[in-house]
Amino acid sequence: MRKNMMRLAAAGCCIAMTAGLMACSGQGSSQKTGVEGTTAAGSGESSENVTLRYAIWGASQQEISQQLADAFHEKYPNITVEVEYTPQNTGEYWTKLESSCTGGSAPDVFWMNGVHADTYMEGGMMLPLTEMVANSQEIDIEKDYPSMLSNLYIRNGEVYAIPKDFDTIAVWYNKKIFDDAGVEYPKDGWTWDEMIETARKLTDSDKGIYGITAEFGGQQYYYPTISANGGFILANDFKSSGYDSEGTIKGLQCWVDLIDEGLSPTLEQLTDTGSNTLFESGRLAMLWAGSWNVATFMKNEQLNTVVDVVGTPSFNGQNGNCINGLGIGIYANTAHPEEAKLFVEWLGSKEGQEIQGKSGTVISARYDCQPLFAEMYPELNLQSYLDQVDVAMLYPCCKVTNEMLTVESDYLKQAYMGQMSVEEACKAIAAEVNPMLEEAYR
Amino acid sequence: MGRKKPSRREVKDWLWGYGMVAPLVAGLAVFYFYPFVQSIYMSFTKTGAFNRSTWNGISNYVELFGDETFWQSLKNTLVYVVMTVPVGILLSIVMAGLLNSKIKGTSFYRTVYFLPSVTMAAAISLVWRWIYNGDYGLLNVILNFFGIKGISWLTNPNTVMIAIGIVGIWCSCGYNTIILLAGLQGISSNYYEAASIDGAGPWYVFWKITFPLLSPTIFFVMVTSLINGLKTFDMVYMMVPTASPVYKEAQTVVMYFYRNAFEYGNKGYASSIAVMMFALIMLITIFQMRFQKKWVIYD
Repeated sequence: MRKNMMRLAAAGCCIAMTAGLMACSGQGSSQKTGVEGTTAAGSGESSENVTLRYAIWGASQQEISQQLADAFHEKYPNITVEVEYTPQNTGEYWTKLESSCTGGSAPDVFWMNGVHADTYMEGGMMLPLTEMVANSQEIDIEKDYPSMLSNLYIRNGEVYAIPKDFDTIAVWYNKKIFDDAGVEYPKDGWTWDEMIETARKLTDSDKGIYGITAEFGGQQYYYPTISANGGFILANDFKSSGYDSEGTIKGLQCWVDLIDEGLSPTLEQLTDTGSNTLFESGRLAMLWAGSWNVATFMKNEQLNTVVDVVGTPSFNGQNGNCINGLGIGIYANTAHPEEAKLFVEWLGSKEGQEIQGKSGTVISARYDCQPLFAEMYPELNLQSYLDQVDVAMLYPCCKVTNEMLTVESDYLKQAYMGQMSVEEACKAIAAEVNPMLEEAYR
Repeated sequence: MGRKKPSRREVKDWLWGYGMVAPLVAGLAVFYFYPFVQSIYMSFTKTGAFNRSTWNGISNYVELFGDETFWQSLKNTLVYVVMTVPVGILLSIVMAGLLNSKIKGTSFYRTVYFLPSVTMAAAISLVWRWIYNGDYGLLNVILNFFGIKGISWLTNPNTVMIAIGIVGIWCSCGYNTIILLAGLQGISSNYYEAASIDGAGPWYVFWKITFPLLSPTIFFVMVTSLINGLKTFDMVYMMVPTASPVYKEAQTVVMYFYRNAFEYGNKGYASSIAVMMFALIMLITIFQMRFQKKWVIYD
């Protein structure tokens, strides 16, 4: 009897545990694609009470999103907006949004970014807003927003999302480390060579202080330098990449040189302790960081009195930067399209963008609200985040972004580790990525 | 011999029986068997966004066989299993033996050893990441004290799997120990009394009494540990970020599966990985079931 019990138990465990593994992959497929009730409310009868679900991913923007929802509710008392926050840094936001779109239970209004826009627009998951935009008193999509951002969500003349905000890169520095070493603070208009010279003076290995870090990252590190050196990632027609262009190689080589010289910690060290951690604990003098970090750094009490910001340094007189923006779209099968449009229009209006801009969490996308970002912390030179918008390259977004960035990271890692030269790595990336792009944009 | 017509009482018993297991069976059917079948189906399709899939025959499998990253991740997983399972089980047996002795505070120790099993893998990984940190980690601080210069354990291709394996053993030991302890306590003390009357030494007692009588439990622990090892995901995922220089050397099969399914949105290909993994685990388990006749003794 016991013999059989044990055997059964063992066999049962095998089945249950392996089936558990398989069960992951089936997720979402069991949901029906059918959607009911698309015709129920949308006929503009906005007097009935409606609740809209609004999905966001920015942890630091939960508060401001709720404030916006409340302000909108005050204006349209019959429409209540529920903010739904899901983190995105490990992908949950997109996993959840995709399965809820598939299952027909997606939030009415949601954040969208350039990387995912193609998938959702082509998949028919986003409600076209073209008519709303054309008739709007509040929004003039051509005049109010940088075209670089609005074009992310325009396909074949149809508008699918309204730009919400964008981010750029600047250099933060810890004045205390500068003072201790008796080094002058950097000024806007400085050059890359001046940055290296400053870093040499500030690096103090006995105290464990670094002048600068060459963290392994595109958006905050090598995309801006690639753009300053005249390089590019994606060609304008998306059919080829610029990984092996001269400017791209130069824009990467400058970071690898920092590691080779010992000015920056190695890739191994930075994987253990990231640049932001080093900077926030006062062990790093200069940090390249996106505008979304402002709120975090200014909440750090050891940091907020000793930091300031300066624009990224130039190469041969050329500045560069990387801009990434997100937009707000509406789920194609929402039960309340009219109310959702009202909300999205209001978020994109001067009134909504102003409330957002004054919170200092992000740079509002509208031209007339962008300066609000710099006004939030007058003690910081936040204007440097806005000064390089015109020279910035767009964060690479195409139909195969994820695959492309995986190839990029696989090879560049080896270049950062000194296992291959930057040029070899760039050529290898181009050789793999170009056929992917050709295939996707045939 | 013709079948006897069941009596009313028997039918009633059966109905009760089926009624009792129905909720479990329904749950399994919805959450395990249906997705299981669906996964096999999906492994033959090319899935786009929003689960719009097209049939593409065995091309996922053809691609899989030529996929270096997959083989590398399989190798990493097997290395992890070979490293952690035998050592883990051996340690668990020793610990169970110690906990089985009559000393004060055994229940305290049992709780302590079981703690890692009820702690979230994410929390464990974060703490260990800090311990293994090359510049500021606790481990290197201790090594420095003895004059040894430590390395960055989680970013060195030679040490990353060992470092993770140690955490894996530390995590699973408590659970295995409790199971083995239950097995030990099921062994009747008569055997030991008889052995001590006959003057058997401790080593002899272990091999001739404890080990054979404990072998069904050891077998159970072995099968489950192997399966858990092959399914390793969360700890490695948390300790080795994608930007890590040793990501390729540490990526397990389930991590690669996750990446394909949820980061690249390639659920068809991911399903074929899951099916391959299922087949592998099945084979290993069948082999174990066959092989158990050689060493597992049921009384």
